[in-house]
Amino acid sequence: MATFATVDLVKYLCTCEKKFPICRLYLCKHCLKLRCIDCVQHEVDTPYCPNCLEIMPAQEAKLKKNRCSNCFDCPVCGHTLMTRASGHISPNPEDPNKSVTKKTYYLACGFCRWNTRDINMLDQTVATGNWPMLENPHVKRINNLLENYKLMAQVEKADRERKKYVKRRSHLYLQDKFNLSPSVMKRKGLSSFSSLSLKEGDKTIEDLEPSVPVESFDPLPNDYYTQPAALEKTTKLVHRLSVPEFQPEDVSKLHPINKHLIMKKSLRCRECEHNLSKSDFNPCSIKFKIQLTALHWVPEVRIMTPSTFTYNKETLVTLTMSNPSVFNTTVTLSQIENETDVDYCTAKVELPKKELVLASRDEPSMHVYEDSSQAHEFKDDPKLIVFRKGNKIGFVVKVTPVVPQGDVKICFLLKHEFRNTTVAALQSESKEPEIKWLEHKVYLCLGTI
Amino acid sequence: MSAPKAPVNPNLKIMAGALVCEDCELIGDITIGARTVIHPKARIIAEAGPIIIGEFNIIEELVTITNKSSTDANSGKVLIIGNNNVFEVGCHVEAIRIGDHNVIESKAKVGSKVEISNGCIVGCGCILNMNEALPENTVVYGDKCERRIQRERPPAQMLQIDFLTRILPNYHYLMKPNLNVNVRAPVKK
Amino acid sequence: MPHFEGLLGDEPRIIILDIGSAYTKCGLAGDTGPRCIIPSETKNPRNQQTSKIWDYSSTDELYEHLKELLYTLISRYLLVTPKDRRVVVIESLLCPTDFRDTLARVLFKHFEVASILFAPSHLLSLMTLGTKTGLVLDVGYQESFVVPVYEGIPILKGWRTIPLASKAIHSRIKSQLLEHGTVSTPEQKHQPVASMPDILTDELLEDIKVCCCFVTEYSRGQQIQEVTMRGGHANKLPPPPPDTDYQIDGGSVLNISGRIREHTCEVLFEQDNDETSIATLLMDAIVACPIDTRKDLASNILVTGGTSMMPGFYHRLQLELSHLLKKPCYAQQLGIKRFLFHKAPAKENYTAWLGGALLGALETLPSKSLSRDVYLQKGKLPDWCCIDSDFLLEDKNSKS
Repeated sequence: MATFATVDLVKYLCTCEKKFPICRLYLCKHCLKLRCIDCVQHEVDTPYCPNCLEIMPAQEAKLKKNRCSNCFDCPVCGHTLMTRASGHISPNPEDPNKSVTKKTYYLACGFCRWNTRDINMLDQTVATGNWPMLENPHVKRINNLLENYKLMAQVEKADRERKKYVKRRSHLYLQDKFNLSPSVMKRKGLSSFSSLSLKEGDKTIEDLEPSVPVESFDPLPNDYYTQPAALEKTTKLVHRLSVPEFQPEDVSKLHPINKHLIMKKSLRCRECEHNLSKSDFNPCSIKFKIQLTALHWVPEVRIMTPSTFTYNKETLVTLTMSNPSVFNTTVTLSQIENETDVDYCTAKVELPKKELVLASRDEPSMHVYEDSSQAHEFKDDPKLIVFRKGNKIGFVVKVTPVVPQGDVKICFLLKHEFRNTTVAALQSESKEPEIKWLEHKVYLCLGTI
Repeated sequence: MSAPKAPVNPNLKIMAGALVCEDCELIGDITIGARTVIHPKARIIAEAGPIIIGEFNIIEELVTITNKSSTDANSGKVLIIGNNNVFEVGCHVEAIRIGDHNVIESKAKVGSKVEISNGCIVGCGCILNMNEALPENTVVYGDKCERRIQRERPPAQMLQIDFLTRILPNYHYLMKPNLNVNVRAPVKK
Repeated sequence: MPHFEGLLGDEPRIIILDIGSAYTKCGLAGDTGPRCIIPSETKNPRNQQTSKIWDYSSTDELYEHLKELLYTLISRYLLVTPKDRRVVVIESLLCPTDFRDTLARVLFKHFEVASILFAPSHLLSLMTLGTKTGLVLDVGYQESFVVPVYEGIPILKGWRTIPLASKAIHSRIKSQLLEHGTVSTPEQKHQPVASMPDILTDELLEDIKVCCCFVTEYSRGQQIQEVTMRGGHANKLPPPPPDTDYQIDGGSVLNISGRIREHTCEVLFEQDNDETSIATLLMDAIVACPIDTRKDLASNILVTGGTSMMPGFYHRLQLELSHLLKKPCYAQQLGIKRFLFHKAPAKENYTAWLGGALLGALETLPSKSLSRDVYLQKGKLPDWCCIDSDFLLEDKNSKS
């Protein structure tokens, strides 16, 4: 069983009582508790363009609506567009007898072969940054509306400020302001919006033209009744919804889409608000500044080989445990009291009673072949410890299924030493890191009967 | 590199200027036009009728072009491939007719009832099986074989043909162009 | 750099969220359009199965799905940190209580937002016009829903709803195709679609609707209904528009007959035994309103919802209404001569969202929102149908 492949067999209980494979958990070094993806806050760290890998400061990203100004996506298939150059021979304005080659640029999709010439977009004379942008035709109207509503909101707010000092005695005041009839008063939940509707005679209405209603609409053009649907000229719904403000129906109205930024995120413990994971600032780097995944701090239990089980019969199962710490770590395993839920425990298990000592993880010697000399060093009981290799041991547990069929599941309490190296390093160089004992509940699914 | 021991094909016509690598399989009545480049390991099989390939085409490695008798009515029909077409690596073509300036991309498959007009692109891995004629400048792309019509047809690959004509003879035996002459001999340059 | 955000710029912008039954619209306050319109569904990363948000069997399931959906919206499209942000949720008046409760739970407990304002979609749609009176018709996915609003107050006895919208069109296309649609494959031409019903996925039906179908004109519609509804002879049908060959993958071609193209949208306008259609919905809503409001309502109709973007929809609706006006049952009750329609400065499918974006950009938002503290303390949401819920809002609390 690999750490990341068959992840559902061995699960650790998160502090929030949900079970996760260890590679999906974090260990908060300040609370000393496991945290799962739901126990952490996700925060935006750095937005960047996934194509040109340039960081965009948060403020700029906000202004540009989270889109890169230099990279474009194909409006038809979503592929990244390439800038292509083409040469045009045009007469030299100074000397009509000579001609000059002018380089112009257009955008093309390498996948579906869409290009900006398809929509009659003019070629550009510079390679980047000059592409015309579509603008929402309603911008002016919307801003106009917004300004008006803002003025009204200010008036309302000022009103409320004043009201704080004038004690309200009856609903008469409200009625007066909102023109509410008593029957409508009941629906106050809805009426809180009413003050935002425009009032004639209000001073703010002056520069806002009311929306002009129309009485009739043009019928559909005759083509609808005489021509088959022009599928190759009509955009699909995904094309339309990818540009919500324009939603073109005709393929000739499709426009290159500025590439959407993606972000690096950081994770924060909900309880102590310390960072659990924070990536490097630079989008090109895959390193982390802080990475407190549980895999780096908590001994990992794996199932070594699949076993066959029979009802009520004891079977030996070999598990392995590896130590991620740079110190030798002592581990004890114990039964979980009152875990009787058959969903998680369908077998009796006899665990090693002695403490298990895991050797430290020593990166350089990890790949060197180890002989059995280590076993002497740790005075292992060969009946218990099947093998020892580097920071890993194989140990035996005796499992007796108590259900006649189904999955064989066991659980135990894993108690291990934990040396908080980072905190210790901060406190003093010379002092040995303080040893704490952490407990985790581990749930294993060993196989079926 | 040893010259393959393929039997002499009496019906193979290679126009002067065409570049056909020795290491490809040409079976049946095949005519290859001038400046057409056929890479090694391409297979052209004129099974149900002759295949006539025009000028300035590029047929890359592991391409299979077959004139197949899908129905009896089609049997004996000539498969005509126009000019300036590109058949990319590993594509499989059994079309009724192919016009000019088409690109059949890698691993694409064109079934035996398809007629391809001009300026079409069959995208990577697209499989066309229906009984249909692709309108001009059609692009078929993506895993769902979506279609669109492009405004311009793909440009001719003149630079690539020039490059291949220079490079290929350095590494491969070539078939000698013959204008209806049934003699062929491997040439090493 | 989340901590710089507050220093450099203005307040963090408010998230505007509209979870529709088919599509979710999401963006930030003050924008002129939503950042994204995505299907209201989540994909399980393990088995790639999609599950629709609104098809939930328990609130726990809904909680998980909403968490996924909101996470996608926030981290992929908005790129914002949700903590301590304000949120405007656009909801239908018919939104089930358990849905609102669960959504509030996800937003407050999981994403730790600062406050939520639940705003009714019809009022928000009217905000985009700058008027306070209007008859708002929302033709969405599940149902068509009309609410008369007078002087900013919804006339609650006037609301009407009918399950005729996108979903009805989709099932009509499906049943028609199963009945007499044909599919050609390389092996065989013109097989009945009924022999391979699996090809008719929801996405396919939607795409057929968008690309091939349209709302036909009034007189043709009447002829079609004469035949399909009242059993007229088939030769009375107007000559159908030409068929369309719809490519499914590279391997098969679905024949969309002209009848399907033209007839499917009739489902919105057919008057069955109850004599109800989208047009009568509007009429009935007006009739239910006080007599002195009717003229204003009829001359301020606003249509929202994605289905109303079908080609020919407005033309047909307008003609349907003016013909209904001639019917004796309405002519006597309504003293109306004509109907006037507004066009919002937005596409129909995000009109309500735009209203939310306007509302969210205002200073008064906090006073109308439910704050996280109050929610955690009281554990309930204000609702328009509860009289006592107003005390939950922030300004009331700040005063006491």
